[in-house]
Amino acid sequence: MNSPKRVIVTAATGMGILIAIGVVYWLWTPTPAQQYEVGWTSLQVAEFSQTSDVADRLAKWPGFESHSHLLRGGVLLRRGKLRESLDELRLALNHDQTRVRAQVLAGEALTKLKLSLNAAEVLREAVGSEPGNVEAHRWAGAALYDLGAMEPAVFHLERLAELVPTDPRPHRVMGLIYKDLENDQKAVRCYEASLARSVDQPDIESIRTELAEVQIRLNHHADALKTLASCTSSSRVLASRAECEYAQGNVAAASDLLNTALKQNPADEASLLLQGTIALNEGRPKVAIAAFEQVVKQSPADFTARFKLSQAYAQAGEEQQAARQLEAMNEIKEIRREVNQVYQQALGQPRDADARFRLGVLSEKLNRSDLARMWYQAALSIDANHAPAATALKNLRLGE
Amino acid sequence: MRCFRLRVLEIIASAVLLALVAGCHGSSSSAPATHATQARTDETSPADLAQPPVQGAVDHSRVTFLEHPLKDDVRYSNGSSSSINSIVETLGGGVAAFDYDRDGIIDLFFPGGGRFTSSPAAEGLPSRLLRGDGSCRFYAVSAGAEASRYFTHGCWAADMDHDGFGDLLVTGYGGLQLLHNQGDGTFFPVTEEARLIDAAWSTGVAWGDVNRDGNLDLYVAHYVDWSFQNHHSCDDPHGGRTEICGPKYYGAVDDRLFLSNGDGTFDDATSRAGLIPGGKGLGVVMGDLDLDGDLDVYVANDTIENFLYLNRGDGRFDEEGQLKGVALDDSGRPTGSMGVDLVDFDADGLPDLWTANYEHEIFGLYRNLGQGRYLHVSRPMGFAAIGDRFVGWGTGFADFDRDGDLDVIATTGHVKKFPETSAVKQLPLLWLQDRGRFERQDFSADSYLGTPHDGRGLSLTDFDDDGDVDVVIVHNDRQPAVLSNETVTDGGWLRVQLIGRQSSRDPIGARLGLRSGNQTVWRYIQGGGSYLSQADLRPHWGIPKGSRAESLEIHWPSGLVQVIDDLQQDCTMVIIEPSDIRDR
Repeated sequence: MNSPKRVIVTAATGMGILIAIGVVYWLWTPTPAQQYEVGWTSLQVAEFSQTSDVADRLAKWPGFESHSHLLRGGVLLRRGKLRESLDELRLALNHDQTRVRAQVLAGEALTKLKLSLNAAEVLREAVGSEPGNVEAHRWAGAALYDLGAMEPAVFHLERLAELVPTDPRPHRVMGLIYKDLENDQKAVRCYEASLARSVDQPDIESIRTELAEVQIRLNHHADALKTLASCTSSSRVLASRAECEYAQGNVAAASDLLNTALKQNPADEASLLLQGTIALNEGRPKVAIAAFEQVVKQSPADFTARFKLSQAYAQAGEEQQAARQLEAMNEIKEIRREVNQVYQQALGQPRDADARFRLGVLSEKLNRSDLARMWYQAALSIDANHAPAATALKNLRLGE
Repeated sequence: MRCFRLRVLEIIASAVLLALVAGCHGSSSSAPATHATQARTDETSPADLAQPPVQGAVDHSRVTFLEHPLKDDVRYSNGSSSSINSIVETLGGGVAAFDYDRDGIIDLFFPGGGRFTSSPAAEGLPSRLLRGDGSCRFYAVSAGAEASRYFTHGCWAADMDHDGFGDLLVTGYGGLQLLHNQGDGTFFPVTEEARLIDAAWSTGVAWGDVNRDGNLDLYVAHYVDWSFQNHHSCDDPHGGRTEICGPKYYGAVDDRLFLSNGDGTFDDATSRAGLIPGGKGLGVVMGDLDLDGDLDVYVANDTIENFLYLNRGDGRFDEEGQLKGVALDDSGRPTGSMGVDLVDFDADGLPDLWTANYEHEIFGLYRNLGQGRYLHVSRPMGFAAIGDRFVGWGTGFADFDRDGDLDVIATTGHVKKFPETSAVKQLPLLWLQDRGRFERQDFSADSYLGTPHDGRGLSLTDFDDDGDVDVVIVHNDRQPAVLSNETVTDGGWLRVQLIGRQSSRDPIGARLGLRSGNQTVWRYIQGGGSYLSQADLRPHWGIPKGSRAESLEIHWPSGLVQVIDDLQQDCTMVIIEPSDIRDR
């Protein structure tokens, strides 16, 4: 081969290789849109430095500023800088391609900041745009739960459960909600659905115990015993089993379980209530009084304990004490009645901060500081200047 | 070039997507099975799912009942064929078992219920009076008691004018109806003449002489303030259908007390009797609960605290349900109480109380501890073992197997058209007492007690006059069940018919203690009881093999105490109140 021909071939080959390299390079260099998706994926898997790099690069591309703000907001949110994240996310709300993701992240940040009403509103918009958005439903459920809007919260949890058929958590939360609302049949169905989805949940024992407690309230004692069969022998579990055995007429078995439970935890309220009840039925009022008094001391707003204590006093011939406990029981019931009434009012008035404050006050009267805190925060999320709620919340924290 | 680039990317994306889809299938192989499970669950109707299971029951009960079909068309119509979905439909009807013509055989009276017209109005349907022939057969008779001015529910028979013939009071939506038994086989309506003017929705009633003047007075329970103008509409939780709204949607209507003047008229004594407002009352029972010689009243209220009215001795009452421990269940919660009974279930000489309750509640057995105090003992006595899915109505204690202790029966059936966790038709409940505990009995599926029904009223009586306790049960929109007790037992029996002279002729409130062996077993002639129904006023005892009836102690409402030592057995004794103690 003569040399000019070889030069041409070599040059052509080199050119070809260069073109090929150029094509491959061109093909594999991500576009800004691709980079944005890469940044979003890295945010989901907590590769925050990569997300930040992408955000920085996108900031230089005209038309991708919103994408950059979204990613930066996401990183700040994951790093716990909630208010800063909201500043970034706000700038991503106006772009069609970033709006829903920004709304969902903002909803999460607002929920974590206990600005639940704002969170619920922004998440409602997200769900309106993308009814299948899992995270939007998850955080909408949480925000509404914090607002005490249980029915709407359950709506989002139900959608979440449909969208993620393997996730046992939504049903567990719904079970808790219904248990708290004393809607026991629905609570049982939710707990059972959660268990049907997975028996490998980290808090499986708590779920089973909660389910058994509701089953006992429904007098499904045989079912409750089955539920508890695979639980460890904590005092809570033993007390529940004892209650089932007693209801089925197995007094000796119930007493054995009860004794073990009380040895493990002498302050266990369910055990003490059952111990007192057995003593009451066997005509030993002094034993009953001691057990019920301890429960009342630990939980002064437990109206069942008050009622049983009144019966024990009456059996012991202490009429005045009995009447006093009945009076206390009726006061507690009156508060509970008012709670139901104000709760219905709050449900119908999503922006009624006063109703939520009132629910907080009533919850405190029922010794439910957890619920009181939630209601005060809900009032403040509606009206940040609600002074009584702010003061009550401050006092609650001081008290703790 | 741009298109090419897009195509390449699309190919890559498609490949990734395919891989993802494949991966999804692979990783969620259990998903179809989950859906199938859900579908099966969804396809099963709630009613199928929710038939209350036979839980905590004893197989092969030793008691047997035989159902006898009625020849005549007798049915209680609850108005459900209309589309009103009124709470009036839920209550159902009752039955009165009494010997209206004094031929010694038990007859039956059934209110007919009613229907809703398009006007709209609630219209009464005819009642039926069935004459018994003592052999499990009944024949409809025309006796002037059939016409119903109102949508009727309950009925109670008592001899209000001491002429020896049982008169009838019928309750319902719209008013009371008093039917005077003229002694010639016919009845005549006398409501207005008797001044029993009461247009509120009446349910349970108890006859009894509360002011101790020898005349039978009337306690009338009222339910709620439903009307066409005050009608609520509720949704079925399963969606798409209209459900009947329960009592929580309506306000309570105050009960009333009517005192007899002894001349066929009554005065409304509600205010001076001290009755408290509210109630939502269904079952009422009257008897001497604190054994102080006068008649007290216990009212089974729906969804709110039950009332216990203790008589001061003159027809004025103090409501002490909570103080005495009979207003609430064992957790301190009110129950949806319907049927009621007054009974000494543990043979300690003290009258106990019993209520048949709504679903998710335990039926309430309140043991009398003495000094007028009660304790809810349903759990230790075994009543919690049946679960919580039954809605109980008519009920009563009797010694069905004649072994000397008391057993209990209850009708069941749901008020909702689409119950969530239970069924409309439910198995009737029968518990036999065994060594101080009650055991639910299981019956074969081809027997009445082994099949579900929509039961309401219940009356205990011995309509075939063979010495055991038979049962009559009323259903919604179906023929009543007439069940003869066919239990084979070697136990004996005794039945006593009391005729008052100083006391009212039907001596409601009398206590009778039968001494047999080493114990005295007490029965009470009670006013009201069960649910919308009147039981036989003749107390019955089963006497176990090896024992015999030794003596009978009778505490008449007049205060007279009579002891009879010379007793026969396996018969009905008729005892007339002595004019004084020397007559005994």
